[in-house]
Amino acid sequence: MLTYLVIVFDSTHYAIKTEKLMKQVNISGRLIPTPGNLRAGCGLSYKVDINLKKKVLTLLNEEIGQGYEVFEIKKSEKGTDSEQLTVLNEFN
Amino acid sequence: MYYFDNAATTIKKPKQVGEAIFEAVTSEKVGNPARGAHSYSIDAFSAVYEARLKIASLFGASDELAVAFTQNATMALNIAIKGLIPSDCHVITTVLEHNSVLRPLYELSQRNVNLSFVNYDKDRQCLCYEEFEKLIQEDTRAIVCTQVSNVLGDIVNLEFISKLCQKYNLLFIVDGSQGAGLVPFNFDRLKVDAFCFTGHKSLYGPQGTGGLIVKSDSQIKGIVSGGSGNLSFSKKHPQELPDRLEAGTLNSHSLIGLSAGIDYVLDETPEKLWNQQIKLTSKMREVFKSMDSISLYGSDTQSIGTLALNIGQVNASDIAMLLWDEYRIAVRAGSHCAPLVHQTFKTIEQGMVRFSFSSFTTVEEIDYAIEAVDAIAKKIR
Repeated sequence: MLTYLVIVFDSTHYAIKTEKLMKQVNISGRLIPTPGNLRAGCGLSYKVDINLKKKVLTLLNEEIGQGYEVFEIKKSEKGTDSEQLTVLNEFN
Repeated sequence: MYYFDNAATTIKKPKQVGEAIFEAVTSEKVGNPARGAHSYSIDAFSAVYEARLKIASLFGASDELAVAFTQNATMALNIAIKGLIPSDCHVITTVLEHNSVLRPLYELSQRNVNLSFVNYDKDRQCLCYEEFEKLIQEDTRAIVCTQVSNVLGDIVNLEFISKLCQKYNLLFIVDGSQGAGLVPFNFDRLKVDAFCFTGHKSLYGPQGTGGLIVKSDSQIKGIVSGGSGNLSFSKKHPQELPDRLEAGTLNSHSLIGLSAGIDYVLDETPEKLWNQQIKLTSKMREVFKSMDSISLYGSDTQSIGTLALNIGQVNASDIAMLLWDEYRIAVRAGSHCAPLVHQTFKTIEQGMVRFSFSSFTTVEEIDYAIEAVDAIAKKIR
């Protein structure tokens, strides 16, 4: 099972801002097209290692503050099996 | 060739601006910002975001996402004026305004918006600042004014107007077309509701760039809608900033050039550029002031970057053509899209000859222009 975080934004500009912020603290996530099952209609999201959850959530809360949702995704190794989503609400 | 039409556009750009645009176009790396997660799109999006950060930093705005890009200051002013000013109200503006302010304001009369104009005092060589407060009435909602007159070069006291806007809770919209990059400006401190700028004058970027800065919590309405790169199934254009004010593909290649232009301004330092232009403007003004047949317009002490004059009663367009044909000096003649300035100075028919400078204008060029004007003045006499 693969587990990771996907942060979905209300605005694509928050996505690019987040990517820059994460790079500045050496968090190596990446921007991905927003998965349609999380939010339909294009857009950019930020995918990052689950082990960095605490650091990422703190940074998001401090620097972005609003306009985003964080999903914990569990996927099979092949990526084709069922996917479990958990919305994290600790900070937003 | 001697170029003195920098108030229309700076023709000489810093080398890095051209290089940045060339690289952007030829690198095959600049995709459509915010339209994909591949590096072409992400790199373009990052470059545009950097441009937003630089604009916010240069103009003292704390929220870079409240910087929206447009193709020029005119579009930015249209968005600000039509998107912020409500119907059925009264607005104060000045006789120094360019048509990019005046015409959108005149259009608002269809929404029952009435206008009052602050006059210019020719003796005191400044706007009649005392009129601002006198013109405020119960339904006044906004003051719209320029930062620097595009004809006279007069610097408007925004600090004074800002205080008035705060006192009476008025919207404050500033046309920074001539001043942006040239005159110190702090968006947050002046509590401006919309600051509109162009990229191709004193920011040394390419034509086709400009924008506006609004407050993070601005209630401004967008006047364009369309593709945004997100929320595709929504029938309504996204309302987050800057998306609310932008639609469709941005001019990324040119914004990358603008970014390099802002780097130039920051590297040179705004203080140095300011001092340089003050020196050039003052030198030319001082010499022309001593010539009998020359009429100078605007402030002797509070102007920058631009100098407007006439020689005797000769039409400004004739002087401009003489300067070009005989001396290869490029100036602008006519009314400069600022009709109320010419009403004020009674130069509707004669127009004015405008010399305008950039950071690349040299003292030698100024001396050459002075000699040329002197020779023409003597010939006419």
